[in-house]
Amino acid sequence: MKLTVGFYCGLARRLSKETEAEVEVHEGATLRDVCAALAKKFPAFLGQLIVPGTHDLVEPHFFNVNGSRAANLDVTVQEGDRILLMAITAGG
Amino acid sequence: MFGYMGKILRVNLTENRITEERLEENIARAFLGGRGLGAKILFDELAPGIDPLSPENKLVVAAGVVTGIPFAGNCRYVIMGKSPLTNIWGETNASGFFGPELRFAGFDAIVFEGKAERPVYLWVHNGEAQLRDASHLWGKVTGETEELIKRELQDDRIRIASIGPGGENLVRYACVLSDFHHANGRTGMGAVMGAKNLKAIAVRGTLKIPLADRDRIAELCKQASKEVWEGAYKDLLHKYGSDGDLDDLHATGRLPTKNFQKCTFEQYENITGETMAETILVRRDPCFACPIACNQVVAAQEPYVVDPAYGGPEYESAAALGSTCMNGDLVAVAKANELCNKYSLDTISTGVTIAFAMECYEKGLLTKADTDGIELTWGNHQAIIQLVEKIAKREGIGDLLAEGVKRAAEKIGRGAEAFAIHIKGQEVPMHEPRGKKGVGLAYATSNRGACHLQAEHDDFFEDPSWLFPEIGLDKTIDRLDMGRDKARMVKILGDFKALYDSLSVCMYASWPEGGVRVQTIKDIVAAATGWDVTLAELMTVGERAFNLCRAFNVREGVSRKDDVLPARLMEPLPEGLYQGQAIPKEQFEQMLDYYYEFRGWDKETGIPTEEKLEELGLGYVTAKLKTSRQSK
Ligand code: SF4
Repeated sequence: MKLTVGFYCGLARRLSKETEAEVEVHEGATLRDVCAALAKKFPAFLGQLIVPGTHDLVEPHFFNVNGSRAANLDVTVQEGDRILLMAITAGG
Repeated sequence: MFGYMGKILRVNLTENRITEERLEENIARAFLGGRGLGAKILFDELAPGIDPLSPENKLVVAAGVVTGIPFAGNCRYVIMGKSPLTNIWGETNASGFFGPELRFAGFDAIVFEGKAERPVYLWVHNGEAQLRDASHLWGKVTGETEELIKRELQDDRIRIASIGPGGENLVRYACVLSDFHHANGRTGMGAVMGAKNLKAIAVRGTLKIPLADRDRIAELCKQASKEVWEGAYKDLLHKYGSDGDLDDLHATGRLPTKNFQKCTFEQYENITGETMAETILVRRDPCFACPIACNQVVAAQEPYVVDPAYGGPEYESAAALGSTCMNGDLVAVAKANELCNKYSLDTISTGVTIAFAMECYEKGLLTKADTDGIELTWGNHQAIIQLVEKIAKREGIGDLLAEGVKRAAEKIGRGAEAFAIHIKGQEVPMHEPRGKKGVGLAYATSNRGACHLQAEHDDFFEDPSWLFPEIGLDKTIDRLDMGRDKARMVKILGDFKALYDSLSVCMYASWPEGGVRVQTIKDIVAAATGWDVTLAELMTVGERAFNLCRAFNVREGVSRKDDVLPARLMEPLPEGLYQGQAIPKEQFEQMLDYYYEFRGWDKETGIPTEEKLEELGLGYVTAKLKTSRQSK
């Protein structure tokens, strides 16, 4: 299935030069699979934004799915979900 | 008493008299230092209703109980007095080296009172203090003042907090600078120094802080150094400073732009921390004992010559002098920042005031005839630089803008108030409350007027890993939520921040933004003082300080009617990820009800109840509040 991930953090936009990206993942995919697909599409993500191997997100990045923060990367997603890649911004 | 130098210096500038007072242990334990100690001194000693720029005002410079103990983020100190910008509680803290040196020089705090007949500076050295003539320094910018004092006293290691022409000319948002670029930015404490003819405070010392358990402190400092590397932001902070957040705030539509009319900025990439690092950055400076070294130092030649001695813009300065004025020229932002540091002007208030003037110009309320011929169009960076100079010198239009947006709007009239983005008279900092609504409540209830540092921001507390049940943060809450739990969160975080400002630790080095754990800081306090302190006791110190500052403001007439947001910040956001998000009045008032309930304040008036004050050991405050209300 095809998913659109909105980039709502500076790093993803800087590394990809895009504000969103479409990725292809299998049915029943998790956010970790989305990370893997993103890393494949944008190899520059690996290291700075996505941990090589585990495909974890580098702190303080996280996903917001359909308006709520995703609890972890094992959350499954489906076509039509609104997926945002974000970062916690500090208050200083 | 351990953990403290045990002495407060009292400097009567009118009588040229310096005395020493003992810091009593019961006061130290109840207020810790920094904000708490300053609140105690100023609430007890200042009469309500005084003019902040008169000799009746006092200025307290206070370090905290951990200031100078060598672990990351322990370097801060606080300057407090009645604010000439807001006419209520004024307070501003800074990192760097001055705070620790004040303690090594022998004192936990200095209280200035009266007004010197002619310009003076205070020289404090290993337990000795003297007032020295500063006539030859008057009119000099901060950096030159520091250099001249160091030369005069023949010691390069002296730490100096000084004002430039902005403070001397009583710009209502003048700040205080140390080491050229560490700013005690907000609430106009530089103007209070100027009004007292106090040009600078120079400190130097080699005295040791008496510590109850030196071995344990050494262990804990080692532990803190380990923890600091675990902070989620340390790399970002080191590489890009706080301006590393600017791109995220643009991406989420929370970057104040065009005087808060917009929340994304087309040219944002020009002014990010990342761009700064790739272009004009020359090095990154640390503070005392802090390996994060997040102070970005910049230099440039074109289109402006920017002197690296004055550091570089952090996020607030980059947004206030950049996006808020639609200025996408990084070197111009850096130049305006340099000038603010030289002249001792708060970058946030300066930027927001210039943006206000630009909007007035756009809407025809100011014309070239008012602006001394300056074309005050959005993004005109030559105009921004010119205005910074004029404000510091109170020249032409600068004299009006030196008053801050609230007073300037009142003078301009004809609806200009709508463009004056302030709370309780202080210009709003660079955080968009419609995209993190706890910030809105914290803005409205802050004791020093609009302030982004009263409570850590909402983003963190959507994530269970950042919760802290030991202090009551036990539930994740969405950033856009405006319910009861959010009000409770803001209350707890407000007490927590008041605690940090009383300990005087840096929020970038400690939880949640930094790695140093609160538990470790608590253990350091215990090992330094020998007190058997608990986290609950420390949180009560924070709550006590918060309430005492509120009581200070209540005595000045503050009540529920003043806990408001500017109308513009309540309207639906016009664009971005949170387009349409507003802070509806009814919901805001409901949130305020909840907040007062958690605070133990009267819901009608917003005044701390007798029971709450009694519970915090501030029973005597109730009587003082009653007397001041009766005499009105
Ligand atoms: S984190 Fe940055 S501002 Fe805070 S003490 Fe360390 S270097 Fe200074």
